[in-house]
Amino acid sequence: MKDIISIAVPKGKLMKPSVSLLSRAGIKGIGISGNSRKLIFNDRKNHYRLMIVRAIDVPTYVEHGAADIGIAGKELILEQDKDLYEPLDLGFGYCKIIVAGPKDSNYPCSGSPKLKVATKYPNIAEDYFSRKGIPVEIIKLYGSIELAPLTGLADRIVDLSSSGRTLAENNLVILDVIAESTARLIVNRASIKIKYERITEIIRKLEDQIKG
Amino acid sequence: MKPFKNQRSSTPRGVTSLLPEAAFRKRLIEGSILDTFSRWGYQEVITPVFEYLDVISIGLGEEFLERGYKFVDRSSGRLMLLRPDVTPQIARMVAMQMRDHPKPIRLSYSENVFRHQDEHAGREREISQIGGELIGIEGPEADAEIISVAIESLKRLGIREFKIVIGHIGFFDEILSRTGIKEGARPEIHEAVLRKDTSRLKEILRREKIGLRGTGLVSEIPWLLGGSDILEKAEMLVKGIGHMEGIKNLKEIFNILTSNGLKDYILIDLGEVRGMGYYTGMVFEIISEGIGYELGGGGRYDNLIGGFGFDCPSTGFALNLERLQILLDKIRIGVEYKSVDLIITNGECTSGELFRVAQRLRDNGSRVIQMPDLSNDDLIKYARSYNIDKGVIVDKELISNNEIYLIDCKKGTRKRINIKEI
Repeated sequence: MKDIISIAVPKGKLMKPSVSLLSRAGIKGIGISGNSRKLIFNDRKNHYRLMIVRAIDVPTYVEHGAADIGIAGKELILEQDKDLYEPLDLGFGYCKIIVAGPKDSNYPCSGSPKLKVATKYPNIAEDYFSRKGIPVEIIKLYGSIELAPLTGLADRIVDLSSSGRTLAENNLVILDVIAESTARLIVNRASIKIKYERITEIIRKLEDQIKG
Repeated sequence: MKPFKNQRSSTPRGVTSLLPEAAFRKRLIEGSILDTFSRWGYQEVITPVFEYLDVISIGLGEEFLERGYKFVDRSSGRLMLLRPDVTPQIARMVAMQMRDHPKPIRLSYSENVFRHQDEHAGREREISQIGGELIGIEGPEADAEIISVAIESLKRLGIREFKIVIGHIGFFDEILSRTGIKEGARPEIHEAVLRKDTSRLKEILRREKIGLRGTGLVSEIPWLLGGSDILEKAEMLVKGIGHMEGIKNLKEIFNILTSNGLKDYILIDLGEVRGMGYYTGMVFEIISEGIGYELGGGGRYDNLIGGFGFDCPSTGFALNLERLQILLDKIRIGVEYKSVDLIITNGECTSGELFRVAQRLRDNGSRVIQMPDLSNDDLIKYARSYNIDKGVIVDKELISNNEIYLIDCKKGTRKRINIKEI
């Protein structure tokens, strides 16, 4: 166990660039693919184990040490506030965490005493509006957030946006950018100390790939 | 969310009831560590489960005050706090009750602490801590002793693959103040260093208009991680910004540990500046292969006892018993669990005779269950279900010759032997 480095790779849009970056740094999960039913891919020769994990679960795996290393979007790291290291900004997977509302909304106030905010990121949203001093009611949704203002479920949404197209198609406009997000390398706090030579080497190799 | 709305959970989340075997194993670990403390001359103390909030809060950081369980004292109306941390209690105890005791004082404890945790975070709200404090000496010898006791505690439990990861609060503070970083930016930098978040760190330093040299220096802190060479590297790095007390102190501690033959257990991480808010110097964490969290940690806290009105330097550490138990379970270290040594029942005899034989065996140190009128088969069946090896049948005829029937519950055989042979 000591010499194997396990890496949690996120399913979804970060998977392809993650696998590609890892492989350029010499970490190859043979036959790895998001469509396969197989979840673990071993590189026995170089002592790596790649695990395919739902993107939202990557920080949990890494915090508990079920994976030594993982790749996760900054928005998830902010939302989940786990106790882990995030040594590298990997650069890919860029998007913005935004506040959006219907085109005609006057920002930040609406007529109602409490703004209703629909989001997949209740902690980020809560924190943002409380810093602004705006009383809100957070409505946690799991998908199609853009629908919420159109149906009267919420006045505003807090969501990710990369091109803004989905928003525009649903007659929503960006009212503020809370933060920018990219994929990060995250590392378990104990692993970096027990396996520090190998893990710092991996970090260095990945850093070289990003820069080069 | 519960699957059935009117179903209430029977125990609060984050607390555990231990069944006999788990309880036995927990006490075994606890006993071993307390014994290690005792061999180093640390005397156990017992602190109260709750305290007046306004008194104990002197020694508690914001985090614990927020996460502590509070309630109102019925008689005085004052707020009380279930202890979230033992060290401030010991600090109060030393300041108020042990002021005149000759120093140094070595104390140990094994207590539960209570800290609120969000649900589903996979963390306990009631934590068993065993710790030791070395009170009244300032030098590196005291810190080295505390670390040595921590190492020995783990070694005696059979744990081999672990590291004591040492950092220094002073080193970090010194660098920040020498590079001219404003007070207001420090918490943010502290957090970025703790998360080894180099990109955020650089961003903050750029915003704060810290020069190239300062930026290079501060953004290197999270990566001052490794063996003794890290201390040399750190020394080189800070050359030119003046004498650094923190590095000197760590080197001294490291040298003592090296000459005690404990070098291989030590890792330096100068970016690991977390822990209790009261730490002032060397800090450390105990990390082991096989578990993703620290097993415990400690550090020097020279101002805490002073907060209670008696200036006195001190250093100490604590281990998390639940995490140790999880780890030991994983690496399968531990003795076989035997609840009871034997079951005793009667053949033809009075209950008084049965009692006297059972008592005689207990006096000799055996753990004996007394069950009247058990058939041979039922005795064996019950014994096997609890992994008990032996059964005894007392018979009036035999006992007059000091003899009994001994049943080997594993094999199911029975023989006549003298009672002394058990």
